[in-house]
Amino acid sequence: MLEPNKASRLPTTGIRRDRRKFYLILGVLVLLLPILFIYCLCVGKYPVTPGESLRILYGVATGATRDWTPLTESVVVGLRLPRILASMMVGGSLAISGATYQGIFKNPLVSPDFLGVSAGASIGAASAILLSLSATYIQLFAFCGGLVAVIATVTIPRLMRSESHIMLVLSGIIVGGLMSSIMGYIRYVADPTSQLAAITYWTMGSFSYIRMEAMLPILPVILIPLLLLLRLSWWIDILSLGEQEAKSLGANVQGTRYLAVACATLLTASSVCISGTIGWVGLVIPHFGRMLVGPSNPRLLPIAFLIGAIFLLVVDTVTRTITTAEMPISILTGLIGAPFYALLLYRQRKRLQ
Amino acid sequence: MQKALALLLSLVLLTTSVLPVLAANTNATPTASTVLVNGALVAFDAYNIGGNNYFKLRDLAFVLSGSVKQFGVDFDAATNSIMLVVGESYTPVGNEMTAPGETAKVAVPTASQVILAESQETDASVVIISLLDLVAYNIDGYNYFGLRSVGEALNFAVEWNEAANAISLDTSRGYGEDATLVTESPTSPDTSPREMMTVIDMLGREVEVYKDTQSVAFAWGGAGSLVFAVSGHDLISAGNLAAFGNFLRYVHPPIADIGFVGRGSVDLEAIATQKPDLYIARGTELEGIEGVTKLGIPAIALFAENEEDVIQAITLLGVALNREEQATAALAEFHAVLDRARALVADIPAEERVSAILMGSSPGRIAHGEQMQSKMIENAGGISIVAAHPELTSAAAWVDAGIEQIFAWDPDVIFLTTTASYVEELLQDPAWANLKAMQNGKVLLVPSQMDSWEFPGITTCLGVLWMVHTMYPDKLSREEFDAAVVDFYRAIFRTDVNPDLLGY
Repeated sequence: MLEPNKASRLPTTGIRRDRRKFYLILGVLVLLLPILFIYCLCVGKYPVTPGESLRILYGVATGATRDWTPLTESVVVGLRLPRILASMMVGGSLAISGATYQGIFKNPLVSPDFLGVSAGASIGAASAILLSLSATYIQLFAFCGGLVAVIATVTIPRLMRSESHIMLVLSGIIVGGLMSSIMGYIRYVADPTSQLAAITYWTMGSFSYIRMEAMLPILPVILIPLLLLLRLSWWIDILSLGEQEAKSLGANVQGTRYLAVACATLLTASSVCISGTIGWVGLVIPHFGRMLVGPSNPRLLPIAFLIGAIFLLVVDTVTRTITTAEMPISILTGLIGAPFYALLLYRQRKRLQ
Repeated sequence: MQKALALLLSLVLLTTSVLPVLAANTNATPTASTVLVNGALVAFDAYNIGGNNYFKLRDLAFVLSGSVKQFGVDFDAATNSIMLVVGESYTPVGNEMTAPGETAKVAVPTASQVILAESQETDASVVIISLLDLVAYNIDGYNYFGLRSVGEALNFAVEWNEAANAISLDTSRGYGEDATLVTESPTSPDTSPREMMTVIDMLGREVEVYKDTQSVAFAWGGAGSLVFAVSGHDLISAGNLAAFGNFLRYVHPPIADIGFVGRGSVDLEAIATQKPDLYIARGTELEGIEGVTKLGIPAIALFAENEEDVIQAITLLGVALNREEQATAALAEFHAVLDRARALVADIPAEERVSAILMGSSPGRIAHGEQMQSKMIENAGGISIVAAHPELTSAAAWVDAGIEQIFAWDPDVIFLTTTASYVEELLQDPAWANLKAMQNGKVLLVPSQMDSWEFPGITTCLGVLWMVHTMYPDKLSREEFDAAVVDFYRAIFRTDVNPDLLGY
C-alpha cells in the first residue's frame, strides 16, 4: 500500500515545487523589468539627473507644469524612451519567437536567424533601399522578405518528404547560403556612397535611432502575435507529444503549427523592422529560460519574453553608455551569447543525447 | 510558395539591373561665347545645351574647308546616315552658316548614324574608317552635334578660353594636343620605344611611367574627380566614375561609354585587355597595384583623405600625366577659394563663432576631430565641437558618437553628409525639433547632389566656402557664393553650372 501512495505523491510535490519555482522566477522578472526600465531611462550621455528623468516622465504622463528645458524632455521622452521600449520589445520578441520555433520544430538549434527570417528581412529592406523607397516600404519589404525566407526553409524538407531534424538544419543552411549571396549581390550593386551605408545599417542591428512614430505602427504586429503565442503555448506542448497523440487529444495539428510559426515569424520580422538583425538572442535566451523553468511552453514563453526584454535592454544600455563611441550591439550579444550558449549546451548535454 | 520565391528573386534581380537613362528633351540656348576658327571670328548658328556647345556639321565643314582638317559631308537617304569624308573639300549645298538663333529652343536628343570615311586617292572611292558615336540634338529640324566630339573625331583642337569667353577651333593641332606640345610628325607610326620617367607616388614607391601617357584607368571612385581636374576627360579610358560620374556625364556625355576595369578593386583581366598607359590606384589597393604592375602597366597610388592629400594627389597627377601646368592652375584655384574662405572669417571674434558638427551616413554617426569634414568646419570659421573630444578620434573615418551625445552638445549648426538618406525623418522628428540647429533651420545637407563638396576632392574648397555662407551669411551672400561656384567650375571643368544643375 505504501508503494503506490509514494509513487503518486512524489510527482505531485514535484509539480507543485516546479510551479512555485515558476511563479517565483516570473515574479522576480516582472519586478526586475520596470526597475531596469527606470534605471536605463536615467543613464546616458546627456547630463540629466535620475530624479529629473523621473519627474519628466511623470510630468509628461500627467501633464504637470514643466520646469525643465524642452531639450532635456526631448532626450528623455524622444530619445531614451523609444530606444528603451524598442530594445525591450525586440529582445522579448526574438526570445519568444526563438522558443516557439524550437518547440514547434522540436529542435534546439533552431533560431530566428537560423530559419533565415532575419536574413530574408534584411534582404527585403535592402531591396527597398536599392529602389529608393520610403521608410514605410522598407519595413513592408523587410517583413515580406522574412516571411518568404521562413516559408522557403520550412518547405524544402516537405518537398523532400522528410520530417527529420537534420533536413531542416540542411534546409536552413541552403536558404541561409542563398540569402547571403543575394545580400552580397545587393551590396555589390548598391551605390557605395549612399545606399550601402543604409543597407549596412539594417544588417548591423542598432537601436541608435528609434523614432516613436516609426515604432507605433509596428506595435500591433508585435502585440497580437505575442498574445496569440501565449495562448497557443499549451497546444505547442501537446504537439510535442507527437502527431497521433496530439490528434487524439483534439489538437488541430497543422493549424496550430502554421499559426505558431506565422506568429513567431511576424515577431522576428517586426523586430528586424525596428532594429535590424540582432543575433544570438533568439537562440540562447529560450535555452536559458528552459534551464530555469523547464521545457513546458506555457511557462517557458512568458519567461523567455521577459528574459529577452531584460537582456537586450541591459545590453543596449551598456553599448550606449560604456564607451565614448557607441558599440554595435551585435558585438556584445555575440560576446555574451556564444560562450553562454556553450555553457548551456554543456549543462544540458545529457538531455540532448 | 515557389512562385512567391521566384517572384522575390526576380524582383531583386529586376531592381538591381541597371536602368537605362532615358533621354529627355532639354533647353538649348544660343551659344553666348564667341567662336574663333584659327584665330578668326566666325558667327555660328550654335546652341549651348547643358554647358556644352552643339554645332551643325555642314557649318563646320563649310568653315574648315580648305584647311588641313577639311572634310566633306554626304547624306545617304537610303541608310539615313551621314558620312564625313576626311580630307575632302566640302561642297556647299546652300543652307550653311545661317544667322545665329536668338531665342532658347527645345532640343530633342537624336540618334544619327555618322560614319567617318576616307577618300582613296587612286580611284576616288571611299573607305569607311569608323562609326562615330556623336552626341546630337535636333533643334527646329536641324541636327546639332557636340563640338568636342566632332573635334575629337576629325582631330582638330577645340579649346575654351575662359577669360575671353571664347571657343577656339585650331586645325593646326590635333584634338587634345597642347599648343606647346605639337608633335613633329603625328601621322608617322612611332616604332621607337616610348620614353619613360620616374615619379614617386603617395605610397613612396618609385614608379616608371610613360612621359606621354595617353590613357588612364582606375577602379577607385575617388580618382575620377582628381584626374578630371588635371587632364579633363580625354585621358580617361576606363574607370569607375562612382558618384562623380553624374557630373562627368553632364560635362562630357561620351564619358558614359568608357571602359570598365573594376569597382573598388581592379579587374586584372579587364585591364590587361584594355592596356591603359597608367593605372591610378587608391593607396589601400595594394594587391591591385601589384597585379597591374605585373601586367606591365604602370600603377601609381594616391590618397585623398584630407586637404593635404588632395593637394599632393593633384600635384602628383600633374607630373605623371605631363599636365603640370593644368595641375598648378587647378591648385591655384583651389587655394584661392580656401584663402577667400579663411579671409572672410578671419576677423570674427571668438564669442560670435558658430559651433558645428558634420553627421555621416546614419544619425549619431559623425566626423571625428581629425577628419577632413571637421577641418572644413574649422577652415570655414566654425568651432568643430569634436575637436575637443580626441577620445572619439580613430584611425578610421566616422565615429558613432550617439544621438544623445549630439543632444548634449546641442551645436548651432548640424551639417549632414550629402547622401544622408535619413534627412526627412530627422526634420520631421519632434524629438529633434528642440535642438538649436533645428530651430535655427541650420540642419543642412552639404551640397551638391551632383558633386559632393564634403568628399575629399578638388571641389572640397567649395564645401568650405559654402559653410562660410551658411554659418555667417552676412560675410558671404548667396549671390556671391553662387558666383564663386560658377567661376570655379568654369576654371577647373570648363563648364557652366548653376545651383539647380548641381543640386543645392
